[in-house]
Amino acid sequence: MSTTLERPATEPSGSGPSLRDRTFGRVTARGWRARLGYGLVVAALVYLIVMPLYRLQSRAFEDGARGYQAQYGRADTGDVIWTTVQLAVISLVIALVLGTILAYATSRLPARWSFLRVVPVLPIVMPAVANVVGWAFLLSPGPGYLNAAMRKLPWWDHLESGPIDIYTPTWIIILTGFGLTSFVYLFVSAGMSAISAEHLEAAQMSGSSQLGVFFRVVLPLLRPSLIYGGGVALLLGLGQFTGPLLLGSNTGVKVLTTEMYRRVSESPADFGAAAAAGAPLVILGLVVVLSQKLLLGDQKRFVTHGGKAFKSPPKRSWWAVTTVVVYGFVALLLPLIGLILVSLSPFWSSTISWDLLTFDNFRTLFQTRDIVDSIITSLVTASIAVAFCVPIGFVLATLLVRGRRYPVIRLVGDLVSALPLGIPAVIFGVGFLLTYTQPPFILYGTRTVIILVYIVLMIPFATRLQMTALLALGETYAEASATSGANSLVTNLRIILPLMRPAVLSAVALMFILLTHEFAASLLVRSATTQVMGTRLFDLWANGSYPLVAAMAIVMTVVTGLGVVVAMIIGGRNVLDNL
Amino acid sequence: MTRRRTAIGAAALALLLAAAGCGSGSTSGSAPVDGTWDEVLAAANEEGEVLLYSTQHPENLAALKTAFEAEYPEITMEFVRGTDVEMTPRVETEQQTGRGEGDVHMLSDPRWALDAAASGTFSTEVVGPAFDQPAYDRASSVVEDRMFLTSGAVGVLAWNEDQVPEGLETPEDLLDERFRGKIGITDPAGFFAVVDQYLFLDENWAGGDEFLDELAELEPRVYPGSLAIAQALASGEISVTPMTHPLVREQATGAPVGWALPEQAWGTPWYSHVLQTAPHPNAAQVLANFMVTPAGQEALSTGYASVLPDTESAVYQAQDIATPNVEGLTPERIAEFQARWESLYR
Repeated sequence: MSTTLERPATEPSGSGPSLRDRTFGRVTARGWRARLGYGLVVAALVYLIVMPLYRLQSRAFEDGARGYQAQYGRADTGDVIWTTVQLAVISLVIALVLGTILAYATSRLPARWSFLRVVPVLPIVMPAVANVVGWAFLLSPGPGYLNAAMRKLPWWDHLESGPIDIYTPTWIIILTGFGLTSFVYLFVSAGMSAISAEHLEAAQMSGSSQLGVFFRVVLPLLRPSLIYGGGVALLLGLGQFTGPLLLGSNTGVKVLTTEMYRRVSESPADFGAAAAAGAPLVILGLVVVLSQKLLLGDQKRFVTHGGKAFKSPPKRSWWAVTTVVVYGFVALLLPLIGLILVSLSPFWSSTISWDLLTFDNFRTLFQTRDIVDSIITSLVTASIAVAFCVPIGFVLATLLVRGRRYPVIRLVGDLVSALPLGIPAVIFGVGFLLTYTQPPFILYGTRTVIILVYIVLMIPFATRLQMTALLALGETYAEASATSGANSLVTNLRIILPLMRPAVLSAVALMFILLTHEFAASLLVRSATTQVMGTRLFDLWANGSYPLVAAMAIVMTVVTGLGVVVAMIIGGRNVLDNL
Repeated sequence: MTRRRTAIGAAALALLLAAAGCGSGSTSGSAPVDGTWDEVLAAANEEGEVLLYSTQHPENLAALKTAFEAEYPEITMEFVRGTDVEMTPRVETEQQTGRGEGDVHMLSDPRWALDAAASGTFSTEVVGPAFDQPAYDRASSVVEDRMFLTSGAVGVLAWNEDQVPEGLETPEDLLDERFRGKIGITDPAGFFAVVDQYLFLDENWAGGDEFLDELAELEPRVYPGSLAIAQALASGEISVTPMTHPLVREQATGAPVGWALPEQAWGTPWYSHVLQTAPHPNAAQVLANFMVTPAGQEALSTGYASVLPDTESAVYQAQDIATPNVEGLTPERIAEFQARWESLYR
C-alpha cells in the first residue's frame, strides 16, 4: 500500500539503470510480494474454511446423493425442519422484543446507574452450556427448584410435577429467545445511540409520552438495526445446538444441528447424511453473507471517525433500571443460583438439605485428572487460536481496507472471512472431523485440530474488530509514515499496530472469552482424552452426574468471568460493547 | 523495549505451542512384547499407564482403578466412561486414523463385539494367564482369542421411593395412568443392546401383548442410557422405569430408589478387548488379565453380573445371561424397529 508513495530517490550520477526503471522495478517487486503474501494467507484460509464444507457436500452427493436420501428420507424429516424453523422464528421474535426493550431501557438509565448497561451483554459471556443446565436445575418438572417453589402456591399445590417443563419445545424456544436477546440488544443499542436527541425532544415537546416516543419515533428509526440484528439472530437461532441437544433429547425435540451430531456420533458414522442435514443452514448462511456484501458494498462508506458525537441527555427513568435489573436477575442470576445449589449438594433433588451442602463436588472435580486436563486444554487451545487469529485478522483487515489493488484476492478474503459468522459452528465441527481424520492431515485426537477449528470460528471477529479500527484510523498515518521513508512492515509495526492497540487487546480478550466456552464445534472434534471444558461437562451430563455438571459449569463461568475481568483491565470498561 | 516485548510474546507463543504439543492425544506408543507373561509385565511397568474405555458404572470403574493400581503400583489406570453410542465411534475413528488413545475397550453391544472379533481388525489376542483359570471357562467366555466376557448387565424395574413407596412387583404395575410423563426409558438410536431389550420387553412382558404400545401411551421420557435414568429416578424427575441396572451403588449413597428383578429379565453380556491401536499394548494386556481375576471382578460387579462364581458384589452370573439374538437382529430389522420406536415415543 505504501509502494505508490515511495519517497523519490535522488538521481545517482554515473551509468546504470535510470531512476524510473529502478523505482518501477522496486514497486513491481514489492507489489508482487504483497500480492503473494495476501494470496497465501487467503489460500490458507480457503483451505481451512471452505475445504471442510466442500468435503462434507462431496460426501453427501456420493452414490447418487445417498446422504440426502438417507437424511431426508427419514419419517421425521418434516418435523425436524418445522421444529428448526419454529425455534428460529419464535425465539427471534422474543429476542427482538426483549432486545429492543432493553436497548431503550439502557438508553434511559440515570447517570449513576449507567453501569447497568453491561447487564444485557453478560449472558453472552456466560457459557451456553452452563446457562442451559442452570435452567434445567430450576425448571425440570420434578426436582427443578423453581418448579418445587411454584408447587407451594395454592393454585398449584395439587401438582406432583411441573407446572413448567423445561424439556418441551416451548421452553427450549423461550430459553433460546433469552439467549439471542443479547445479540439483538447489541445491534439495537448501537442503532439507538445514533438516534438524534432532537427527534426525541421534538416528540416530547409535542406532548408525546415516553411510550409514544418509543413507538412513533424510536422504533421506526431502529428499523435498519432491527433488520440487521434480526438477521444475525435468525441465523444464530437456526444454528442453535446446545439447548436442543441438552434439553431436547428428553422429549424428542430434534433440529437440523442435533440431527447432524447424531448422524456422526452413531456407529458407523454417516457423514453424508450429516452434511445433508446441515446443507440448508450452509445455503442460508451463504445467502446472508453474500447479500450483506452486496447491500453494504464498500466498507469505507461507513467511516465515522471525526463525526459529530451524540449523547442523549440522561433521564431518571426508574422503569429502565427496574427492567434491566429484572432481566439481569432472570437471565443471569437465576441460572447461576440453580448451578450453585446443585454444585454444593451431594445429589440433586427438589428439596435443598442446607446441612448437607458440601464442596465435595469441586474437590472431586479438581482431583479428576481428565477434568483438570480439559480446563488446561480449553485455556491453551483458546490462547493459541487467539495468538494466530490476531495476525491473520490484521492481514485480512489490511487487505480489506487497503487492498483495492488486489480485487480478486480481496473479494475472496472478504467472503471467506465472513463465512464462519453465517454458518453454524456445529457444521464446521462435522467438517473438521471428516477432513482431519483422513489423509493428508490426520489430526484426530490432537489439540491442533481444536485450535484450527477455533481459528476458523474466530476469524470473522479478529478481522471485523481490527478492520473497524483500521477504518477509523484512516490512511493519514500510513501515508505520513510512508512519506517519511518507512516501508509497509515498519509502518505497520511502529505506527498502525500501536495505534490499534486498544482494538487488538479488545479482540484478544473477546475471542478468548468466546473460545473458553465454545461447545458445538469442540464436541465434534474432541477425542476421548483431548477434551475442553464444555465437552467434558456434556459427558458428565450424559452420565447423569448432575452435581458434578453444576460444579463444572461454575468452573467454566468463573474461568470466563476471569477472562472478562482481564478484558476490562486491558481493554477498558467498554470492551464488551465490541462484541 | 519493543524488542523485549516481542521476545516475550514469541516466548509465550512457543510455550503455548509446546503445551499444545504435549497435550496432543497421539502417542508414539510401544510395541507389544512377544514373550513370557513376566516379560509382558515388565514392559507394562515400563509403559506406566493404561486407558480403559467402558460403558460400565463409573463407580465400578473407579473401584477397578483402585484395585488395579494396588496390584500394579507402577501402572496408572485411567478410564473414560460413556455409552456404546459415544464410545464405539471413537474406537472406530482411532482404528481408521491409527491414532490410538484407548488401550482396552469394554462394551455392551454383543453384535459389534462379535463382528469385531471375527474381523480381527480392532483387537489383539489376549495373552494373560487369568483367561485360562478353570472358573472363567475360556471356551465359552473368549471369542476368537480376542473378545473376552468381562461382566453382564441385567435390566430391572426401578422406582423412586419417595414417589412410589410401595414399589413395583411386575412390569404391569408400571402401566399405570399415575405414571404418565414420569417413566424413564432409553433412546435406542445406535444401541444394538437396547433395541434387543425393547424387543425382549415387547415379546415377554404384559403377556406378549404389545407392552411397548401401552408404555407409549403414558408418554415416557427418553434418556441417553441406564445411568442417566438412575440419576433421574434419584432426583425425582421420573418415578419409575422398566429399564435400568440394579441400583445397588445408588442405594449405597442414600439415593431414594428401589429396584426389583422381574421374573422375565433381559440381560446382555459385556465384552472387552485389547485394542490394536493401544498406545500401551502391554499394560493393556495386564489390565485385560486383571479384569477377569477375582479382585478385578469384585471391583467391577457391584450391581452387575460377574464372570466368576462366588463374586460377593455380583447380582448375577454373566455366563448365565443369554447372548442377544445377534443373527436375527439384522440392520434392516433394527432400522424397522427404530422407525417403530420413533413413531411410538417421539
